[in-house]
Amino acid sequence: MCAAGGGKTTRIVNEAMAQGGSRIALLTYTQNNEQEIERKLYGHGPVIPARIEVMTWFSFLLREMARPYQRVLYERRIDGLHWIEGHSVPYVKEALTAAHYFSNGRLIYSDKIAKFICACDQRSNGAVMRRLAQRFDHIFVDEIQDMAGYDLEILEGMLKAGIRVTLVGDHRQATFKTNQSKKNAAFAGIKIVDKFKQWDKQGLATLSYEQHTHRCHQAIADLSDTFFPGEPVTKSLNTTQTDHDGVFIVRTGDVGGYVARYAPQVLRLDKKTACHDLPALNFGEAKGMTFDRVLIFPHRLGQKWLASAQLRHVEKSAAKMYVGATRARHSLAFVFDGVSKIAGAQVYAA
Amino acid sequence: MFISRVIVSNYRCLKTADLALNPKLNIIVGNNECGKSTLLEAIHLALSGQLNGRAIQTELHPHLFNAEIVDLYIQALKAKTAMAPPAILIELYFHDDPALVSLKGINNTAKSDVPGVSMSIEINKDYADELASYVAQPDLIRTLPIEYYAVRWRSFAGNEITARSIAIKTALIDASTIRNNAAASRYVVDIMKDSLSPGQKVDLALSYRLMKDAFVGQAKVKDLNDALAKKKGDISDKTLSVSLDTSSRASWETGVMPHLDDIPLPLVGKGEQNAIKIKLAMETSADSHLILIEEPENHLSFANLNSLIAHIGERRGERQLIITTHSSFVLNKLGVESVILFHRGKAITLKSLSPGTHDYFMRLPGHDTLRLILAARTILVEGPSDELVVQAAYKKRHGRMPLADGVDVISVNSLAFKRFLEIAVVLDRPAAVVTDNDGNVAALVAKYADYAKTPKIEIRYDQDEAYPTLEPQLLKANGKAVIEQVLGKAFDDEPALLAWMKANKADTALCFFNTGVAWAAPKYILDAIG
Repeated sequence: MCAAGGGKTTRIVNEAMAQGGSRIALLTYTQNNEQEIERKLYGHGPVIPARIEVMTWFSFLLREMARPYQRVLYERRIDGLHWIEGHSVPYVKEALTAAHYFSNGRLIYSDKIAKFICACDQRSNGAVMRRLAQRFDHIFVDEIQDMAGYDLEILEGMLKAGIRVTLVGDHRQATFKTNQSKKNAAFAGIKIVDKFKQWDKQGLATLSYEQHTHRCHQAIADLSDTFFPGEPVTKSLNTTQTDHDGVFIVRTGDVGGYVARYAPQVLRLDKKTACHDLPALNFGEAKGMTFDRVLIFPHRLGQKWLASAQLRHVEKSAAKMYVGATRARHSLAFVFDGVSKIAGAQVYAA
Repeated sequence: MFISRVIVSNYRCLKTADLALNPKLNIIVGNNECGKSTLLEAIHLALSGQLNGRAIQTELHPHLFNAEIVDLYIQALKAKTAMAPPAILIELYFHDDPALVSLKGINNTAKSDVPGVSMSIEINKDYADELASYVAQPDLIRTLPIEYYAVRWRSFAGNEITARSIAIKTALIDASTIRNNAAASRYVVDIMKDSLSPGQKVDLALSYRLMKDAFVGQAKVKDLNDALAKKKGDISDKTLSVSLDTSSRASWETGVMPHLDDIPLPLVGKGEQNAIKIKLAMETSADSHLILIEEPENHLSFANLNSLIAHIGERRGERQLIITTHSSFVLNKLGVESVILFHRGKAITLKSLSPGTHDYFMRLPGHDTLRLILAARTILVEGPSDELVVQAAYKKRHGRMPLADGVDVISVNSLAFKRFLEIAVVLDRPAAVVTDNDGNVAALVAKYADYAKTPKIEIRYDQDEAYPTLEPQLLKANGKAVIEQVLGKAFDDEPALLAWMKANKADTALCFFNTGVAWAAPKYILDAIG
């Protein structure tokens, strides 16, 4: 597990490149991050070696795990995924394979594909995992905190099958979930780390923490750490000094001048927060990205947190707030007109 | 890397085919129209996605489908009985090689957990409405509505693939058909291209483009362009000039032609052309190469065929080779054990042949092994006279020549009888030996003791040691008078007649073959004819 800006992605890309000759899969949940990984691979040379395959998690599940042995459970070819935000057909029993797993008989529900794979592997006496072990020498999974439900069973299956797996992520950034399955609900969000602790205890994996950040200024790292008081403290390795470093409060009236002077990336929780018509990104969208300067328009509960420094106001959005705050290298500013009680924040003087 | 099994259904003349292949050498033999060429074409199609040098998607036509199944479908439509529209399926099962794991899975008809590819040409369900109106009037339907079909090319893992996804590269060398020159030259260039390294290809492409650039720089071309430039305004407001096409469409592949002693390859004799193509394909470096050769014996003299076959034998290395042939020589020379007899989509192999027999035919490749392999039943005889007499006797009894019934009378040196019988036993094919007793029945009994109880093998000879060969046997069966009539000659006595017959064996046999006189074949020959 690694703090934001700790260089997780860079690290797995470097490791993959260094393992000359071995066949490698680099997996991640979002297409944004898939592109980020490819971009980093191109940093090593003009072509990505054929032995390294970058895939999104769902594409990997579909192509390398579900389809090859699907016929032990289901004859008709799985053409693709049917995207489900919540729970697909919750009252259809598992025994009704076609209806339980598939929409239109051809598309597999995204929240059940991992479960389908587990069932396939079991029915085929482990053929799915055996094939995977032949197929790749080393599998890297980035943004591991996004995994949920049967994904964790699949990862555990890989470990048990003796496949070399490196999982990296930051449990504090658990803003997405690959699915909403009830399976492994006890390990949802930040608690995913408890699953890793279990694997560590069972000797299936070794859990280690990286507590440094190459990205965030120490003041930004300190503020971000306050969202998760029980977690290890982050140390900044960013020693660059600019004329505007740290955490700031910007008055509404000063926003125009501030934007003109520092050109920060504007971030918000979601589109419900108005941002003076500045080009803004939601916290979730900004995951994996880095900006020199960030200006956050806090949502209503975010403003309460700024006024009180009481975490309970942003408890539900802590992961997203953490992601938003840790995007910044040098300066992190909040648009706020009241008196802020959060530690270390200076009021920006126009 | 090699193909271990091929399953084809509804592709051209192959309604169903399922055959196992040897890791290295495969010699496919079979009668005409048994689907040998179609099989090679199908394998090449499923590996390359190409038919006749073009992408299959653009080459779809109704006659790719097996005529029988299409008829059945149209009949079913007319009778309004339920039948799914016919679909073509070609499945290639690879040996379970770690380099091919990405193609591995059980999405195949055999449900084998191996790497493989499958190509299907099936109805595109998106066109269900159009198909429904097409089949609404079955009386008008003659062919399949190919417009509503789609090509699906997938690995056994169930994923869509491209030619790049398959690590096995293939070269199809078809010496049997002579295509038009444009196609032929492109095909030669393609094969040449495979034998060049990536660096050589880049160099060739670059030199070609530089050459075109240099063309424009030539003084005479410049003068011409200057003259054209003066006409600006007369023809167009822009400047007109000539140049060579340097777009990627006009790449070296279209402008470069292999030459043999300064003669363009398509203009060299077909035989030599094919030999060059085969040798070029053999030179390609990748071990993963699969080489498909169709009838290498075509257009080649015996001496050239001999050297080509020797070349193939030496250079094939670890690569899988699938070769079709009508030549016993090719077959014997490359190794009769690698024969795959292809018949009605089923394959029979000769793998269990003894090494001695295999070596025997390799050293003496002139033997007509292929005739025995292809015949429904074989009668082995000792020489041309016996061959003629047996044929004549057969026609007398059945009113037809033996070949018309699939019975082949093959004249073989008696030393080779047992070698041929071994092939017949492996193929489980009936065979009869018609032999002289040479005055020593005990020796014959000992020689063929192994076959005394083999059900489909008959050893036929006369027990009477006083009549050791064919001529005395004919005399014994017919008497002097009949034979004199057959020969159209008179003799003083039987010894004189017999002496003449023995001295003129071939003439004697020809007379029996051509005569209108009624004569009787010796009993052991009649027994062999059946």
